[in-house]
Amino acid sequence: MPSPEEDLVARLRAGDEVAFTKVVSEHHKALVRLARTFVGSEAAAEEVTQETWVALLDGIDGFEERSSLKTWLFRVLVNRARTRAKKQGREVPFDLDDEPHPDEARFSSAGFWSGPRPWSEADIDHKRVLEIVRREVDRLPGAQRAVVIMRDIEGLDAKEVCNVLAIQETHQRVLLHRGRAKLRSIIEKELGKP
Amino acid sequence: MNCRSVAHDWTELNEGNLPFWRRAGLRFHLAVCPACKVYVKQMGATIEALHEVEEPLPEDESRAIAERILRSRK
Repeated sequence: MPSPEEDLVARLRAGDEVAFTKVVSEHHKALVRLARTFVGSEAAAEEVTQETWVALLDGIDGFEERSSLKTWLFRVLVNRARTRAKKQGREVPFDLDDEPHPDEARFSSAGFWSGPRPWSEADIDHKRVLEIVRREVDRLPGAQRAVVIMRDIEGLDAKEVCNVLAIQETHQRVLLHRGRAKLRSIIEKELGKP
Repeated sequence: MNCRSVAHDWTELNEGNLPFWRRAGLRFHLAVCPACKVYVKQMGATIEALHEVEEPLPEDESRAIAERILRSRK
């Protein structure tokens, strides 16, 4: 019996428009969000995403299923977005710099949390946290944003993200951690505590 | 191990990429440090929120996009 993914791929190969609409529904927004990381404007991101969908339909017969369809889609999108960004003279740097931890100033010289403690659990308002995260994830530096979108929003695993972005796993983990830590720190500031 | 180590290595710890002794040291610190316990819970809450950031496109919008793309290939 074919897996749901094999079934989906077979339906796409057969030109099933309902299956295609389902894939669009599941991934379009995330693809646009990721494309924006590279190309900047919403219009360019929409165009790159549209090209990616066309590439999916044109290339589905040659899809070898060595990765998931989702990973393949993201890889096509990132390659196209990078090419377009280069033409625009834009580049998202994926090098690691010496960026300090966002909470660095909160530690004593001995490395213990100093000053006020982080926001208390009782204050976590999930709706508010979600609202802040939705807004702030798009403001993260490009490389961190790309990794956070794929790992934490879209649920790709570390290897898949490295494959899509052509980066090392250690590199991926640093970018992921910096993005997550920055978001936590922003939430803390916005919730008014300390 | 101190709070800074936890704040720096939390993702590495979570993904199981640290050597045994470092992992053990961080876990010990986490077991005894109330501030770090809060930090870790907040990181978890942040990631939980990230999981919910993207909602599927409404059906009519997905259909319109799919139709536009299919038309563009004809």
